Amino acid sequence: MDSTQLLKGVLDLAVLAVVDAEDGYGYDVVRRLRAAGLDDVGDASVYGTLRRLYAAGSLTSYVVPSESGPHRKYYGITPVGRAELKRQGDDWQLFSEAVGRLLDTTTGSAR
Amino acid sequence: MNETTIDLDRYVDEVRKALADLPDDVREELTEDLGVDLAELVDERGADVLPAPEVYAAELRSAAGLAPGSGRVRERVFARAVTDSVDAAHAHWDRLLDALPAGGPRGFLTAVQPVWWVARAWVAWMVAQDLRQPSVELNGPWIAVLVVFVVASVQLGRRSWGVDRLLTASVAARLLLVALNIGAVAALPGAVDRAVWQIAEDRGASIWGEPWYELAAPPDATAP
Repeated sequence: MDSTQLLKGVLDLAVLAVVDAEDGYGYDVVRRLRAAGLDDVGDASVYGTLRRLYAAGSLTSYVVPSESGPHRKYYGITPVGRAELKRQGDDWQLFSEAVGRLLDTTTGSAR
Repeated sequence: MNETTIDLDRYVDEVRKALADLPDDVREELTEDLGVDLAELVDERGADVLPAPEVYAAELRSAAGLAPGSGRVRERVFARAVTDSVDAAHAHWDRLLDALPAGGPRGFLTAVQPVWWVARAWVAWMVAQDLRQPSVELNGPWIAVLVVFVVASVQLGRRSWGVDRLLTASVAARLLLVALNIGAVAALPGAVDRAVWQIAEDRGASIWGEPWYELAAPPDATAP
């Protein structure tokens, strides 16, 4: 299934959820999103989303020196980000339940 | 290692260029520290995971919920590059002036700027005369034309009549203004020369009572 279009709408939410679980640097967040089943997520999308969330004050960032290779820029969630995660999470819950109910009534056997 | 850094700098530049049509703050938000992120990505997965900069830019754009870059991006990129270089030249000129000693020639130049506005209007007027007729006329219609030119030039210099907005919005208008100013500077010596000759001719005519210079000159020299 091509989930790229679906992903677009919830990428902020997904990234916030991943960083909320544990601080992470860009590629680490990409990896965790893919491991969670969002296989189609692109590197640039995630890096761009991290930067946008950081600019919006939802994330904080700090640099961790690396012995091999460039430093890693880690992102952590801020109270603003946590509030955003809660709000968007609730929205998503309502939305997916609504769509789930629709599928149940029309096909009788969604999923 | 060093080579990778240089390549990434260029890559970042290319990505920024592909986003040149976006407002500055949005582009900055999308690409701030992009180099750091790319260095990390390359370190994790190797340089060959990076797509073409335009593709990367398109993905940044799409993930931020922005409309795809239109075909006009290239045009706007060019316009921005021109604007940037004009701005840079202007800033360079300002710095040059400020670096000069003797208590700020900038203030002096700003004060005499209106003189230039009048002078370039006069140059334009002389050029217009030259295009229309062999001699410089100082009659009613031509004086009216001069007044119109002076008013237009001063208003242009003062950035009145919405000129300011036009110059910010249109690169072509800005280039045209630069070109007109350069043209006026280039035509100034010729215009002064022509005026001096005209004065000499008028004086000669007043002394000799007739256009003596036309009678004295060999026929082929007066042919237009």
